[in-house]
Amino acid sequence: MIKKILKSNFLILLIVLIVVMGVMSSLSEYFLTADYLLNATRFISETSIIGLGMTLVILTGGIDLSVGSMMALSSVCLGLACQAGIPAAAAVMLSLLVGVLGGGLNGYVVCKLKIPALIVTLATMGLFRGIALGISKGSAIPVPESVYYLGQGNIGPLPVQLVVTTLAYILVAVFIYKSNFGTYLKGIGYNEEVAVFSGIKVTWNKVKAYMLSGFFAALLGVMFTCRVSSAKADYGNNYEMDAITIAVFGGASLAGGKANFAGSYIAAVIIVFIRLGLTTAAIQTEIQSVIIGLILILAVAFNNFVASKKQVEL
Amino acid sequence: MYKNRKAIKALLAFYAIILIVMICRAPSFFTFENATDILLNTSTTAIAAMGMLCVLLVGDIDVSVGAVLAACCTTTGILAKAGLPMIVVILGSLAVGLLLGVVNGLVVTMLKLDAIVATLGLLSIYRGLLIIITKGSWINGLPAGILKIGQGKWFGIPIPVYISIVIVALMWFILNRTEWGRNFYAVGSNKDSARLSGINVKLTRIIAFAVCGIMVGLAAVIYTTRFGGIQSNTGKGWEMTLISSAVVGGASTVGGEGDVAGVFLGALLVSALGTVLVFFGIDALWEQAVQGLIIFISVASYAIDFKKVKAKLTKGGRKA
Amino acid sequence: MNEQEFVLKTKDIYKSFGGNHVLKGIDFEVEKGEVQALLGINGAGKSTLIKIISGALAQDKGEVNIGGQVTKNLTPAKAQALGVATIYQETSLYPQLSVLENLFVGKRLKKHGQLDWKEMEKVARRTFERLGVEIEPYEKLENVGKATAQLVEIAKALTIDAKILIMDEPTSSLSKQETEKLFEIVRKLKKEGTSIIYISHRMEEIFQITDRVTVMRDGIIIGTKLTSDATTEWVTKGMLGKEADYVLEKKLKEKGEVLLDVKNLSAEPFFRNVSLQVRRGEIVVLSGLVGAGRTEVMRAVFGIDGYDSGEIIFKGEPVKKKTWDVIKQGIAMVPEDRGRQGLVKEMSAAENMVMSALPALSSVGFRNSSREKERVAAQVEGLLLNPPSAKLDGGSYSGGNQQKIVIGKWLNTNPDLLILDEPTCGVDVGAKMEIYKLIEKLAEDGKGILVVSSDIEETKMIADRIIIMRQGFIAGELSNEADKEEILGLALAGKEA
Repeated sequence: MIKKILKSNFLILLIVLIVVMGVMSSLSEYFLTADYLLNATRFISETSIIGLGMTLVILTGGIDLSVGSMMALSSVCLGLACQAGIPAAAAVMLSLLVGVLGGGLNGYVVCKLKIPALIVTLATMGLFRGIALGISKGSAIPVPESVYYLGQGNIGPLPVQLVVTTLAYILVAVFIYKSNFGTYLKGIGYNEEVAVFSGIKVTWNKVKAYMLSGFFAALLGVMFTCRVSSAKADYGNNYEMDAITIAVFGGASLAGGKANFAGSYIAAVIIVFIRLGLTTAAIQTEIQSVIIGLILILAVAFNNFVASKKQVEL
Repeated sequence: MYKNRKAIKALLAFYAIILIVMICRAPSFFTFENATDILLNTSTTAIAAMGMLCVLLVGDIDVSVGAVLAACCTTTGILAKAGLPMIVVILGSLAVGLLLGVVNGLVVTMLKLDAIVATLGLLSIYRGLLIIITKGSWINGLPAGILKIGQGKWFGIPIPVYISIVIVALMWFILNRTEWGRNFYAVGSNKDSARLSGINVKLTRIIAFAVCGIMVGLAAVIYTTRFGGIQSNTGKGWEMTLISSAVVGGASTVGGEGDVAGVFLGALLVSALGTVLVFFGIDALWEQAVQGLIIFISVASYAIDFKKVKAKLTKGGRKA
Repeated sequence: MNEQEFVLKTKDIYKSFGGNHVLKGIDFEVEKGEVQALLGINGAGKSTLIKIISGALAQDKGEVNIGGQVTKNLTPAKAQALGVATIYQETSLYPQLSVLENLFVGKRLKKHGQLDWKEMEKVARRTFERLGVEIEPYEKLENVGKATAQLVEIAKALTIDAKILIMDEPTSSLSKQETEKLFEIVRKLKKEGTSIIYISHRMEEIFQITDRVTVMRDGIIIGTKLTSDATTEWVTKGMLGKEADYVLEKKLKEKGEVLLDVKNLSAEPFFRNVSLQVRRGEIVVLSGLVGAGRTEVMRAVFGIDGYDSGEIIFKGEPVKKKTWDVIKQGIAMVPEDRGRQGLVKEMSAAENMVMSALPALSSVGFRNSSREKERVAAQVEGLLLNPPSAKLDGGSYSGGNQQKIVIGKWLNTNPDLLILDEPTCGVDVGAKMEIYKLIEKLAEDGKGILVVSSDIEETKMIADRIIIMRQGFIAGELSNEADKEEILGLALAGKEA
């Protein structure tokens, strides 16, 4: 696993991260304080968990544009369930289940009807958000204090989000690098027909990847709702773009077969740091979006450049 | 010149169903005003969707269109407020669209990036730059003369409807009757052999992005003059509307497939749904859900091979 | 010979890719109105030479003279304008476009500045008539089938009035009748003065259709002879550089119980009432022409496609419907198309080799690297993989070694029955022999082997029993003593009984 990390663009990402941190701390003296960073991890974790699901789906050669809408839908489900008097734990479970089912729908349609994932998830993106809007009647639903812990609490000194997300990343990475499931996803991502001929359960494995993507989006919905104390149908707008940026910046290839979870995690950290750092330094949010856009393009262009060099050597 | 009849047939069937239901449930829907209103709503979407079609045809995708729209709207607003003649305003908007389209094309082809990633990055760059330049201010109070483009009528029909019809006809001509247009299809269908046939693949792709930019620029003129002003978040999420229109109209996201008629019908469906749903008595809150569902059903229906399904049903099923 | 008679002449062409010298001084000439065969094993440099002539690649050194004109920076467009049309092995068609449009991409007809589809349709219909084929110009290409697509490729070349037509393995996906048709067309074109460069691995075709034979090896031209003066020995010797070691030692094996028993299997329109048996320790070759339905039968057995009726029994039990269950029962299949179905080119040979065996090699869903390493090392050694390491990406091995990796992948699942669909297609002679020896050894070890092969030499060499399919049904069965004419006779035999 160590070798795999080194072979990838992980080092470059680390260097970018260090540069970003250096620049940020020179812009703002608060930046490198423990309090600030610890608080930042809440945002980092939220951004990175949505990139985790996307990385998985991109690994299979697909894409999931519905993650932002799914986040909103799960948020609204949590709110409504709590409002209906369902116990907090059950309400959270229900929201996560909605994510799994929605992801399963995406995966099933992609596999069975052989429609490009881009189109399927574009449609469900509208569908999920539409349902969220419809059932919540567009208004914010307060959630009870009993669930605040999931978004505002700490485990030891660490924010809940940080622990949950990091654990999720580690678990997924271990599974992908060490289990049959990961090898199957990789094989499917590189060449689906070979996977079929190799006796791999292509549909089932892909559906699992989409389910995980839906699950992580729903998990974000829950944590986000609990942090801001109310559920709303317009959460997660454009989060799919963040998620794609994280996955691709982290080293995944949209063609499938390639993904790097450590890379995605660092990419999320970098993106959030840039956003937060610039905000703290009172620099317009628009410059942040220019910088993030530039980083995405340059990083991918650089990856391509390195990959083409490698090919020539062979 | 193979045409994707399936999407068009499916769309016409959709329209037939909608019409029949409307006749039964809401005859008040059928007014001249409603019809022109729907066509007016369709005009910007249809024009820009033609541009998106070109990009999809060559096998790429452009998700930066919303930001390009905002940039072009701003250009239109600034030029109009400066009191420049109408033609200069229009050309200015088209030029900005063209420029950004060419930048998209160059970044995608020269850096060899996935179009979705590249235009995603460019989307946030454009948006950021735009707000830095305009300082995020809204543009209001355009001179009355220019508002005629978006708000004027000829023979009771809004001018944008005429413009969109001309553009659709023009695009039909380009895509079916010119070398350039057919090259879009060839490049999207098989890049390697297109290159071997002497087609400049990179240039063709750049042109597709450029056409998309110009179309968005034109749509921006209508958009700005129709609403008389613009906000800084103009066009957010618009890429999804355009891609939906094209895809519902039978365009493929992997290239080489799609035609003008289908995409026009797709744009019409996507833009008309809102109005239709209101007349259906569906709460506006559910509008997006129904819209998503219809897009979902329509693309799913193109993928299902109905002949096979029929054979399966009549034959009692082939063991798989 | 007179200077003007040459329509193509290359002088001292050199080409290398990153230090790998592929062409080393090629002087190649084609006369007007001749069919010249260009032969060589994979990697001899044929494809590179063709690409340079057609403008798809630029040479490092040397010149290409087409019809008396030396063009610098030859591009595909320029080459076409000079009358060079190339039919590549991997089809260069546009699946989403109509047949008509496919014919004219890059050279569409115009009237008053706009495309003239009516005129194009007329030209297309005329061309099809000239070829003696019936194709609907407005049909979408991906719906017409492989053989028709091949004819569209030829028609495409004719619409530009080609002076030099390059055909790279044109018959690889054609049936016997279609091949005959193609030959008629070739002869006709030749009479009209078109020169044809014909690349094929099928020796009988070469002797049937060509006027001269040029043999390449390792980037140089070994020699050119009139086909009437050339012999098979001269050609193979030239291609291989040594006498071909064309003998496979076959041991008399003890035949065991019936492993696979296919009874009256049908799947319209591909095959009907197919019955066949494979025993332990037996190599059965399913022979016949391309398109006879053999691959479809294998796919049905392996659970890739469904079937309408019939039974498949394996070791006394019905074969399951899903590929992963079929593999568990002890059947493995090396598919027809190595690049698309057999091997993930971007993954290492080691990963490819364990991909199908993971359920058996892993513990509770997690991979066990020491167990995997052991298995992979054993395969690398047993299969004589070259280079002898499984760490490289699958795609970086040669065709023959890629095939060995695919075979290794299946041996790791420890199958009782191994199905190989055209196992030596695109494999060079050396690796071919190694694969034959391997197949023989597996049979000796008591496995059942079912090979689909269109190569009659190969069939003769490896088969214990030959089953011939024709147009979707079993045409007959022969022992390994049958001669080639008998096999071909059954595969061809007139009308359906």
